[in-house]
Amino acid sequence: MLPVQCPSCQNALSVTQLSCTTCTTSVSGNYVLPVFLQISKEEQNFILQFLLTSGSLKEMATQMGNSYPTVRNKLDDIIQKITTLQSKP
Amino acid sequence: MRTLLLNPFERYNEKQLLISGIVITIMGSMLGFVFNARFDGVIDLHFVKKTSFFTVTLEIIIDVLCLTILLFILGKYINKKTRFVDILSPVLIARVPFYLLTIFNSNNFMFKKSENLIKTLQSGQIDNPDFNDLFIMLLFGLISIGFLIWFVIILYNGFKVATNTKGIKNNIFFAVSIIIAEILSKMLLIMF
Repeated sequence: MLPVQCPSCQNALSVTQLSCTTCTTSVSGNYVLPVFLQISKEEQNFILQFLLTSGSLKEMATQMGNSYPTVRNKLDDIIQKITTLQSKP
Repeated sequence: MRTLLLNPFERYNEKQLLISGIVITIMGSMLGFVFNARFDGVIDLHFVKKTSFFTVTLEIIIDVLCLTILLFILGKYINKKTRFVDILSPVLIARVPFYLLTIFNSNNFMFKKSENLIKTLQSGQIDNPDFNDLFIMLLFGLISIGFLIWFVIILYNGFKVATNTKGIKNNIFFAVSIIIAEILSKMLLIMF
C-alpha cells in the first residue's frame, strides 16, 4: 500500500522520484500525490465500485451487502474527505 | 446476532426493514391486546385490567407517527438526503422491547401486583407493604429501564444510519425530539 502520511510528523508525503524498471531512468522532482491516492485503499475501492456501477448506490448496496443509506453515508464521508484535501494548499 | 438485536439498519434494505417493522407492529398490537397493555406515550407502557385491540392499535399508530415525524424533521435538518422510510423503519423496529415487556403481564400478573400496592397505600398501611409485591415491582422497574435503553440504542442506530449524524449537538437534538414526541403523543391520546 502507498503511504500518504509521514510516519514521523503526520504531514502529507509527496513523490520525489519515479523510476523506469526497463531502462532504469529516474526522474526526480517534487510531485504532489493526486487526491485520489491520498485516500485509503478501502475508499479508493469504493469510488471504483461507484464508477463500475454507473453511480448506482442501490446496486452498490446490493453488491456490498449493505443498506442504501449506509452506502450513501460512506459516499458522503468520502466526498467530505476529498473536499477537505482539495482545500488544503 | 448483535447486529440483528441492535443495528439491523446497516445490513438490510429498506423493503426488508419496513416489512419487518410492520409485522412487528401488528404483533405488538396483538401482544398489547392479549396482555392488557396501554402504550399511552412514545416511551410509555402501562397495564390495565382490560383493553381493546382498537385502543392498543390506535395508541401504537399515534406513538409511531409522532416519533417518526419529529425525527424526520430533525433528520432533514441534519441531512437533506434523509428519507422518510429510513426513519419510519427504525421507529417501528425499536418498539420491540416495549412489546416484549407486555409478556410480564401474563394473566394480569403485573397489574394485580401494582393494584395490591396501591390498595395497601390507600388503606394507610404504608409501613406494612407486601415486600414480595414490592420486590417484583422493583425488579420489573429495573428490567423496564434496561428495555428502554435497548429501545433508545436501536432507535439511535437507525437514526444514525438514516441521517449520517455526527456530533454531540445532534445527539442532544435527538434526545429532545424523543421528549417532544412523548409529550405530543400523550396530548393526542388524551384527545382520543
